[in-house]
Amino acid sequence: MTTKTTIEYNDRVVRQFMLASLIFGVVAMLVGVLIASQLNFHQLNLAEWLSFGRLRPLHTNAAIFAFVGNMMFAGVYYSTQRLCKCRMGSDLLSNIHFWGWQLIIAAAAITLPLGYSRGQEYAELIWPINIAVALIWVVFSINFFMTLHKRNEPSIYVALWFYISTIVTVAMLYIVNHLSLPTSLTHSYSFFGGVQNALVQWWYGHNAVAFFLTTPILGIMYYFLPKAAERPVYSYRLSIVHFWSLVFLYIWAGPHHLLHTALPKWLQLLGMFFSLMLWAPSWGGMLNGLLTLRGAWDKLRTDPVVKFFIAAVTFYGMSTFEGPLLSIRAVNSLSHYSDWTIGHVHSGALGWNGFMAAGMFYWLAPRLWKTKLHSISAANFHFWIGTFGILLYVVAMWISGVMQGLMLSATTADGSGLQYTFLDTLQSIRPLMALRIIGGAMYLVGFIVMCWNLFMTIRAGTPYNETREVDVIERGAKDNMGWKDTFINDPVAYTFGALILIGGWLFLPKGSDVVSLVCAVIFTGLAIRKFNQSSQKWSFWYEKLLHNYLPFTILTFVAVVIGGLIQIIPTMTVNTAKNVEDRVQKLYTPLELAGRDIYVSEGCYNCHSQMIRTLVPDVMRYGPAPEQGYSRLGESIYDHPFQWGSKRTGPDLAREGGVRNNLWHYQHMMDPRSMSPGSNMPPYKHLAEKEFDQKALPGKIAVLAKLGVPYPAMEATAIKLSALEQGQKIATDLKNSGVQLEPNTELVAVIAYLQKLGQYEQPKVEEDMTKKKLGIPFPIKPGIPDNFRSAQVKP
Amino acid sequence: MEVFAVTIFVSLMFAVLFAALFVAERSQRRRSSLEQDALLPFDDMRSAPVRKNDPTIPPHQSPL
Repeated sequence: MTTKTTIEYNDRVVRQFMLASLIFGVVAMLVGVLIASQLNFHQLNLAEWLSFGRLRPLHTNAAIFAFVGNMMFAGVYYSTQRLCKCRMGSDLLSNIHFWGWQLIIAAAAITLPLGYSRGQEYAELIWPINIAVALIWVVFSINFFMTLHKRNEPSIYVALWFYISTIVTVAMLYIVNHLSLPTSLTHSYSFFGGVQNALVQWWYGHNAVAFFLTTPILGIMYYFLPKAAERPVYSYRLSIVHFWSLVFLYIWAGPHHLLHTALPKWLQLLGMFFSLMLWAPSWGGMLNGLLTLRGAWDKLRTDPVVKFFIAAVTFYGMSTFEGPLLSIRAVNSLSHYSDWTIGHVHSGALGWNGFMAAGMFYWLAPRLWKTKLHSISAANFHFWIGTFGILLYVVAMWISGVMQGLMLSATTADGSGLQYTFLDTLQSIRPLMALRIIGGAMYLVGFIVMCWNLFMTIRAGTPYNETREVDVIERGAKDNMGWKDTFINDPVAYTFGALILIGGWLFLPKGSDVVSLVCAVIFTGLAIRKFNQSSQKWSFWYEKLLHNYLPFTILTFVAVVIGGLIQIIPTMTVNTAKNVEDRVQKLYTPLELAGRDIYVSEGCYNCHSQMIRTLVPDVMRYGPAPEQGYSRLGESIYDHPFQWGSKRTGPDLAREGGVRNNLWHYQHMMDPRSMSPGSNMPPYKHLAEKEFDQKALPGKIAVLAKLGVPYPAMEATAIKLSALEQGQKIATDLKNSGVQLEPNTELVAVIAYLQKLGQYEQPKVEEDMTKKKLGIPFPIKPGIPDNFRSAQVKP
Repeated sequence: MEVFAVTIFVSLMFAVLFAALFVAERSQRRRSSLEQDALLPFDDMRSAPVRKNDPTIPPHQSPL
């Protein structure tokens, strides 16, 4: 006999998250349109806290964590309660989660424009906020798993698998990438420096897209799309393949952000191949979503919710085709550091995330406020203006990226020089950047129309918490799987066996790797035969796994952690000096360090890379002497954080030091267009008025020394004195040119830093280097010949 | 040329994988009950909501 119980869902927290998402969505997009405009109209850099470098992190963080974050939580809280047939685990935790998250967003909105930044993309927030994020994430996790624990439905639906993968993976990524040693309440240095920092950052950065912007939204798709289409998901089996292959493959793909750098080629190829493989599960998910509409395609004409969902899934398909394409090394040599990447991320963010949010909100609002949607016409208007806005934006960025990429690579007819200056290329893409503003503004108008439509809907209704009578499931019908059942079985054994053998193929020395590959193929054949013989048994095991949330969570964590470890561990454990390739960065003086921190704080990395790729046009353009070649890993080994960048709105600065004199830099920072006519860089006059923080320097140097930067022991007074003496030299040099600038100003420190960029030592022999303390050790290539180092331009 | 080789290789792998999985799927006689889980989001349509706030619009009826 079944017992029944009455459940009142906590829909209040869903409404709260939804409203927060709408508000922050407008903020994020408004800032987006503003910074897009700043790129064409430098006059819009109205104040130091409204400059592009400080607002761009605000835009990205607001879009990811405030808009999509809140939307994702609304979807998770709504669907989890229905799928588990119980109220959320704890109302208190739900409230702490909501208000804590909004406080974090408020803190970010204040600190980022003020220039408090860690200097890593999507990881800019300062360390106290990082800790708050981790704690609130733990609160969310506990609440979620409490709900799973007390559920009244034995089987865990596919949407919940994606939520589980989001929770465990984001926690892992966020904590590892934000490991830092504080130097003050508002400043810290990353544990990782140089190439390690680059690897960890893009392991995080890429998977922030994967596990914050994709997997939870896929979960939302698997719940809300069938509800809107009024038919079950096309294939539940396909969703199994989709889930496991996606979470397993995604985590490996991070190094595709570092193609053509001096990163060992095996890591680049690893990132590239796993990115290519990602295409298959991504499209599996897309097709599963699209085909859910089988027999109900007429809804596309009549139902705006379905319209948004289907367009979103289509954009997902487009982005996940474009992503692997951009990860091919040959394509990446053209697209990287260009607007093509910007177009790619916006087709995902606006098309996939933004339209999924819109579809979900249009579906939720009438149900959460017990009324009808105010205007279907307005929703349709939103759909069309949003769609055309995205297309205009994305196409403009494609053309801009390809055109600028080609122009930057173009050489003169005899191949001895470059055809265009960087500024030439910038002028060529200006019309396309203007089109981007129009496309973005159209999207924003559509979003504001949605806010108005939902506001009118809400005004006409009353908040409503759904109440249902559900069967209480018997004890033993769920969560009854032991460790042995979970791990000691054919599916797990064959999967891990095959993975270990494939790992052997990748990492074993020549000869053994082929043996391992052959064994992997044979083993996979055996696994397929075994599956054919006992597919029912395998299916039964998986069904049982779906009745047990904890074993499911552990296996998900194992799946994501394998790729992470393979990518990260070699960089931590293998000590070799040969990867610095005969160059070791010279230590920053105290003044140069102060200047570097200001460079990071102003967000200069948003427009300037510090990485001359292993490509001939890069070397020719930024050498500056051709024989210096590409940027070696050793040239940024002590950089905490690394500043390789991901977009060149301005030129690369890896070897800027000594190329121009102090006066040029002074005038350029005060009025960029006086030195670079046509430049879109904001002026930095405020740096000439503010003093750099001398007092903080001894503490900062001590922290860097702890992190492995080989600073000699120095007295605090000597550090401050050194900074002032170097500042005085620059001030005197400027004075001789007729410019009056105090030696203790931030501008002097930034000039000192810029003049240091690209300076390195060349140790005589490798033995010397192994004796020298190099900080955290370097990665090596475990087998594949690294044959791309020939991109040296002959003088 | 490297790109063409990779593209052709990956495409062929996908084609072979598709063919193999398609044949395997077609030859399987018994369908798994796993697909039944796809109906979970619709469970709330089978039972009427409890009368508390008495929604004017039942959840299975589109409020659009």
